[in-house]
Amino acid sequence: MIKIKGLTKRFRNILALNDLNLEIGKGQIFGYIGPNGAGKTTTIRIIAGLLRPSEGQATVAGVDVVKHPRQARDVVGFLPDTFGVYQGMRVWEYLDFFGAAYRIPRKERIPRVDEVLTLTGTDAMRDYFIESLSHGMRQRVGLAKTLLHRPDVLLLDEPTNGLDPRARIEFRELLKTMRDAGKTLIVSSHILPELATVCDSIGIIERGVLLQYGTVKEVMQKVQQRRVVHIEIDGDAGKAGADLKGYSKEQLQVGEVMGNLIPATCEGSDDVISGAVKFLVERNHKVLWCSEAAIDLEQVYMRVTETAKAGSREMVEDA
Amino acid sequence: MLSALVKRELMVALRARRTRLVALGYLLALIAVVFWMWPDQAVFSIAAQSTRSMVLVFVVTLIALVLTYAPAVSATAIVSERENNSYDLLYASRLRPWEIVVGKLLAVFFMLMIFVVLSFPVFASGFFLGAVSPEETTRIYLVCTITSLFFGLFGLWVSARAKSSYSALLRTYLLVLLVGVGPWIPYILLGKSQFWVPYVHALRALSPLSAVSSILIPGFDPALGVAVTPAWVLYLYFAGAGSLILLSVILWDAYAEKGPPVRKQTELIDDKNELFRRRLRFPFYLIDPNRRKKFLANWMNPVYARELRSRAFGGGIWIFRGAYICLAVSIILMVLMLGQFTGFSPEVIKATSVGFQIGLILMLVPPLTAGGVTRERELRMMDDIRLSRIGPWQLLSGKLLVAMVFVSFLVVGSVPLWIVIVYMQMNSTEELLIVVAILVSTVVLALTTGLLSSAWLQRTAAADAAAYGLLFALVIATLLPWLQPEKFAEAFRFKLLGLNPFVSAVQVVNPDPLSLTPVLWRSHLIVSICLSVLFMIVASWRVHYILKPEK
Repeated sequence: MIKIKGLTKRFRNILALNDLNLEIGKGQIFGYIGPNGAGKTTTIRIIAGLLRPSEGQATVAGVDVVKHPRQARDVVGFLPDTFGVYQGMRVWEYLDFFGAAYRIPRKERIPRVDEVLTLTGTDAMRDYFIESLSHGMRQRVGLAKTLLHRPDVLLLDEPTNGLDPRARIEFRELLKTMRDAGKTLIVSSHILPELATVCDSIGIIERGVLLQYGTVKEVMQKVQQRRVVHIEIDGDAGKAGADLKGYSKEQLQVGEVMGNLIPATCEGSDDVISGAVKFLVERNHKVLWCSEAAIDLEQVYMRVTETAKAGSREMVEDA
Repeated sequence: MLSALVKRELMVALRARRTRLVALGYLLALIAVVFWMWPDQAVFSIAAQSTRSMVLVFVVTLIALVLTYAPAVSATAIVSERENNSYDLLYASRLRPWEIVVGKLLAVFFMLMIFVVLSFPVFASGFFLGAVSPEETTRIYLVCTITSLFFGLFGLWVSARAKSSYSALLRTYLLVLLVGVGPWIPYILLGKSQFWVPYVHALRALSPLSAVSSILIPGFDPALGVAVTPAWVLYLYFAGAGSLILLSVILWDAYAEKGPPVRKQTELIDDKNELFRRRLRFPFYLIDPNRRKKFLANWMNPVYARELRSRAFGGGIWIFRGAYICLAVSIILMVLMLGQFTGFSPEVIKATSVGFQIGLILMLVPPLTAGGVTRERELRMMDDIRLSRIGPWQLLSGKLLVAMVFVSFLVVGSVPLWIVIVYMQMNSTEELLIVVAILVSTVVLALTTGLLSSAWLQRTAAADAAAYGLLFALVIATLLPWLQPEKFAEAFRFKLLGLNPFVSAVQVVNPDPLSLTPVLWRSHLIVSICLSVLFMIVASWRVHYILKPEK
């Protein structure tokens, strides 16, 4: 659905994006992560056809956004991180205006406004003046506006900024509903746990360079250089730990036993871990359970961007 | 603390490109005045007289600049802090309310004083030729200083109570024009009536233009047989007292933490009977803001409809209030004319009514479109517009159309004057049609000037100031060559005069005073239509560029 090839953007002597390559399939939620000034918004604005790249290609649903930005706008819905509202307009009037601005015929527009209001849970706010709404409600109305012309791709730049926990959870559910409706979403956010739960794939960008890209599990595995395993023993854990040291020193390093728990770290595939459990069982140790201590997305992010300094950008040397 | 705020305000303002551009434009205008009006007579007294005209032109330019620029910098001073959510940050700091207000005021005042200081070289040349005395110079600078303070406070007062920078600018410009130019209207109407003379002269003195004229033009103050306080002294008292009152009100509001009124969540009305009843009540809603509206029709320009709903009829009724004020003024003028209270000839009455109409247009129309594009930027709506299918022409024509609807409301208010003209059979149908054509072309020119400024500038305040500046240049600059006619070719002077809507329209209804001049209205219509088309094309091209993907 979205293909980005060699995308580069320079703002005078600032390199905002550097040779970005990305591919996102239909009906996926792609989480776009990075520190402030990393290039997330620049990427999203290029895909939306609002910004011209210095080099590279970006296609959305087969439309080249660089060559045909106006055509791309028909298939793209963009919700910026901060968006304005017209004062003195009611919610439905605001949506009606944007529906007309997208040239949706009146006959279709009337049910469409109701549809997006229901979808975003703002139907009760229909007759409210838009400037009187809370931040969370405005965000929902913004999303409703983005959905009006039924775009195939939704670009949401920090959509949960400033929302309370309940609104965030509801918004997350809304994203899943969009995905289930067959839409492709790019969501940039700083709130990583929420991305981990909804995203099919993620990309971590820093200083305009895409550092990691893939499904959440793939990225975690790539980042997690050594896997941490805990094995609980019913019985003499000290002896079991000592026995386990004889399994394979190259593949599994056993740590200091804590109570009934044997911590171990390993490199390599799942076979190493299952082999270690089998090794203990064969030596008559009662293995209660074995689990891998997975790192979360926040730790992944911290590891990948540990060299990042918020807001810093690479300077392009003058040619 | 206070100095930190002033420093910040000045730093931000002085870094802005528009400040440098305005200062450059002002200096260029001063250079042009000096270049064209510099006396070429060797006789010292004649040279001094010519230089005095030059100083007068320059002082009027300076006052006009203060009147144009003061609202642009002061009207948004507090309301823009609210819009940027930085007002609460200021309040949460250790700054006291008076420090915030005085800090803002000083920043505005210093900005305006920059232009006063830039004028020193011209005064130096005036001294050189003996055109102005040190005493007169002191008085002029005193008037300029108090004007900067007074009108700066006007802007701050409105800014503290306004909901948006757009409405703050609009209200401030209207108030500034009312106080700056309004006091002259009774003088024009009743200046020849012996009974009214002392009053209208005292009222006229409340305008800063009267104050500087009183200093530089001998015989400006009337000889009434008794000692009369000069206009500039009266003005200083008025502006000084007004400044103190305004400062007190602003401080009161700041300490009481009185903000703008919050919009009421009014209910929509479907019941036809209730809607009819509302129409019969004040303000006699022609288009009721609470009536449930229909979805936009396919043929309708969405920008036009949105502007109508959100700005005029989406809750605010200022347009109706404006129309009622116009109607009231118009009826007063009508009664005065019909009753012949003024003792004027029909020609003067006709000229006054036409002047009133054009003055109304020039005062009220520019801000209607000057925020057209800049407001979209300020509200952060430009990305949404760019993403939609709205093109530059649709955007601009929508804004233009809605402004024309507003203008039509205001023009309807002046219908009584036209009734008088027709009733008194003052003019032929042809003359009336020509005057109407001049009015329409002036409206279109004022609207397209606003759109042009809005398309090129970043902020509504700057666009408003630029639009007013351009139109005032059209009205005032076209008269300047007549101060020293020998310096300019006759054909050039008349061509320039043809641009002036007042002169062109007055010549049609009252040709006597201008009988020696060629007919101006044709050239006026051609030039103003051509300028309007040119402004619209340039604005469309600019908006087309804005709507394209950014580089």
